[in-house]
Amino acid sequence: MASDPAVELTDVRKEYGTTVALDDVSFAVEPGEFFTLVGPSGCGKTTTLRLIGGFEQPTSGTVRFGGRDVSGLPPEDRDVGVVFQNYALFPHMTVGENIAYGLNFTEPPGDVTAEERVAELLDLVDLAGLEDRDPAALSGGQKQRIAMARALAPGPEILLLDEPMSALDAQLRERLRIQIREIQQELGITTIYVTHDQEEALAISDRVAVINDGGIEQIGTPEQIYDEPETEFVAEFIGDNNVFTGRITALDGTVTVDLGEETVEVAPTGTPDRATVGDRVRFCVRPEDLVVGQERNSIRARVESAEFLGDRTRVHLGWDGTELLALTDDQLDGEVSLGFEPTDAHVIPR
Amino acid sequence: MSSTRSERTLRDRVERRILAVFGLITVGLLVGMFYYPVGTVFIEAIVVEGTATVSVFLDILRDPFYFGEFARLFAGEWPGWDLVRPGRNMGLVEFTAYQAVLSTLASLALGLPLAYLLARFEFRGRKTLRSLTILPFVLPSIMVAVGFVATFGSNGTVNEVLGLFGLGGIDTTGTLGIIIVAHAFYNAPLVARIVAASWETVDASAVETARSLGAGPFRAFRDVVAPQLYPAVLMSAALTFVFTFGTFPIVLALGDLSLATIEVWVNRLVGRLNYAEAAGLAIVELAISLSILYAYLRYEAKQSSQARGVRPLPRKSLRPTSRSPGELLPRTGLVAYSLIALVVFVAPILSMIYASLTGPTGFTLDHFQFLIERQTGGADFQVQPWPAIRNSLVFGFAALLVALPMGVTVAVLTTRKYRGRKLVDAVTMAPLAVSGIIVGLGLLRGLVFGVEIAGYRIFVGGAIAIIAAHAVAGYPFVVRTVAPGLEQLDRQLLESARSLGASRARALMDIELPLVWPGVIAGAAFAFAISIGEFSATIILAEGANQYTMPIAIERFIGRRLGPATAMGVVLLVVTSVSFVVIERLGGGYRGL
Repeated sequence: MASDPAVELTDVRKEYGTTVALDDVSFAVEPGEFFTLVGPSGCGKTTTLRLIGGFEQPTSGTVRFGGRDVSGLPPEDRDVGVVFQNYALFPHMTVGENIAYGLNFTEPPGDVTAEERVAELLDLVDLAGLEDRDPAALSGGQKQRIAMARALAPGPEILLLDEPMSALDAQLRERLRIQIREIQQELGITTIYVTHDQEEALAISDRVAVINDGGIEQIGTPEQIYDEPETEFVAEFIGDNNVFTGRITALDGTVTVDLGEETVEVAPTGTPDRATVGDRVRFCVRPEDLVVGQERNSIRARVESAEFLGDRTRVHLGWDGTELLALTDDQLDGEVSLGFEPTDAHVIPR
Repeated sequence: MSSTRSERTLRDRVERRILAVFGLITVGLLVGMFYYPVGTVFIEAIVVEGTATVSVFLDILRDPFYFGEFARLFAGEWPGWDLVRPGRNMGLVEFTAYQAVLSTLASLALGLPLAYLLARFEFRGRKTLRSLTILPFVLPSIMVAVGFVATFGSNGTVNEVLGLFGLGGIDTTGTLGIIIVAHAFYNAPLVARIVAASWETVDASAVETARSLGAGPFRAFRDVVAPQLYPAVLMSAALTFVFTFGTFPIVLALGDLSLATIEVWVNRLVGRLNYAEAAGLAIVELAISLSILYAYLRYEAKQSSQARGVRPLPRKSLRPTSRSPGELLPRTGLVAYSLIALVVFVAPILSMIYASLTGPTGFTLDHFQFLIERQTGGADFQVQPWPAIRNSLVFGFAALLVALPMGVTVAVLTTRKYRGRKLVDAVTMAPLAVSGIIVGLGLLRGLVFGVEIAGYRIFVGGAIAIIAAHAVAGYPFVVRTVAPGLEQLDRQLLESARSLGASRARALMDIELPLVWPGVIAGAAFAFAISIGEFSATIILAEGANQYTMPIAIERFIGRRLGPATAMGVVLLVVTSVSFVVIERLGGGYRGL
């Protein structure tokens, strides 16, 4: 059955005592896909990964790999490579022994010896020749890549990455995530990636699942997640955003929203079909789309503080008791008028 | 690839079950070697002629021989002032508790200055001294007794030295005093170890804060440091009390019957074949020990775990920096203490070695020669020194072979978190709290005398029973040295190995055990040393001279011929010192105990 998803979770629930860590989560990852679970700490993303890896068993629900139910299978029978946050390199083995460890249990793929396989993998992660090093002598970034090589050595069907870069500095993270993505593309391996860094999630993934409080908020491509957030949590968690709440006063191609002091027009994307005049509605506008001096949909707000970011300045504004964010090139002060294009606003459906 | 992994070889299938199999074997051994024997003792004490009764206990409780004036209380009388009247007739149990209290006080008196020295001063050899405090765990108590006789006995070194000055003629053999000092030899290092460890976690900034608020050094100690030490002091006192309450070889070797403690009497009752009373008395002892431990644990649980500082108090130099009384007084005290400590801790060992090498005519190897001569010339009923050495080594290695896998299995099973883990912990560590004499008695009355199962009568030989008793005594030490290492291992190391295809047992062998190897080695050395020094169970189980071990042989020699006793004591000292060195050098990284 070629059409079966590589990994499929159906109504997976995980409880620890009375705490519900995962509340009936379902999603499917296609073969070869780079799928990212992103959310704040404690949201359940790592629990989800551990359930897929077989380190924990779901309280209810099923986990399927390629259509086959793997519930109850121990990790060693799952054909899954795992890279942990702290790399978990075996400290009493050399780099080469670490990478070769999984080959004790599986023939190396591609008709090569274990030694050749180790060299192949070191080459793949750009660390050729480090076989005999002691893992403790490696830098953080090297450890991360060795952990990746070790996970890939037996040729697993699925690669799981649990915040593999959270211990590294920002610049290195950006370089490594490009490398991870390249390796994933080269091997075409189904990859599930866990991170709390929403920017990383958008940069690296084919699709992203935003998780909060044990449940999935939204699954979609990075563009969908960024441009068309389906919940207020997604709107605010993924990048900076300004969320407005108002009442619909007209529905005719565009949606007219009464914000109290001002009335604005927004594009109808995301508006639920059953929405009618008089309903409460929320929509969001990205700081970069909130333009100073724009006539259309203008609102008046007061500058409270500004942060110089280098290429831009991020301005915090007070409006109607809430805080708005805008990006400008100018020095701003006092009361200003801002506006946005209706198409830059996105109605939050839920 | 999934196909290669699903094709399981036989070896693979065995490997997957191995941990469960080891778990089951461990449970089986624990039942056979500990719970069944202890159960046998219980039943012995409460089933008389086929009916369950508490009469054995009631008889013990109401017997003035055991409980003195308290026996009248238990019999329903009100003895009034007689309960606390000085000079009253103390019962055996009361006396046992009395000497345990005195021993505890002596151990605190000798241990706390050592804790102070170790925690607060820096000097050459401090780390070595600290390592040496583990030594009592491995020194056989019967050997300590020999050392004390060689030091404080009528022909001991103390009298010899006093004789040089024209003084002399003290004979401490058979007095309560020497027993208490010997107990302090054993337990003061334990006190020092526990209290010093706690002292080192006192945060310097707390003391500095107190000082900056106007407290003098003594006030700061009393108000800030001391309260943080009380729990450790109490813990070491509770442990010392329980250990000395269950004392046996030291009293047997150093005292006479007027100083008999519970275990000495249990042994005597077993000798008289009065098993029911022996069992009843052993259980009374166990009940008292466990209540003390339980009371202590309740107290400990109530202590909220304080956040401990990261910056310990700086250590001072032993050389005073000025001539102020604040500098000189503590150091003078420590000098006086070290003189006493030399007499109590070092003299017995040196005296034993000295006595083993000297005779009426000066230096001689006769005593060591004797150990071999008896072998060829001695009659069968006599204690044969060489077989005792051989038996000790054979039992030691056999007990090690049982205790090591058992201990590692229990450590693995109690490291993971799951419901009921506390129960598993308690069930598997119980042997630490139960005296060897109960285990020995239970093994003797059960498997050694024979058990009928489904029409078959099952016997085990005395040697097997001795090995079982030694393994039971030793394996908790393996658990205690291996489990902390396993607990601190990053769980993701194990999970990485599993996801790479290793079974649980394989991951244990490949990843976990190599990383906690120092703890395994230390545990093995402990288990071996415990077996070599074990006395209580062995003396009950050894069937005649051909199963005697070194400690039993020493006990046989000690009253009659001190020379051979000291020579064998030296052999024992060498064997256990090797264990100690193994623990310290190879097991340098273990974190338990």
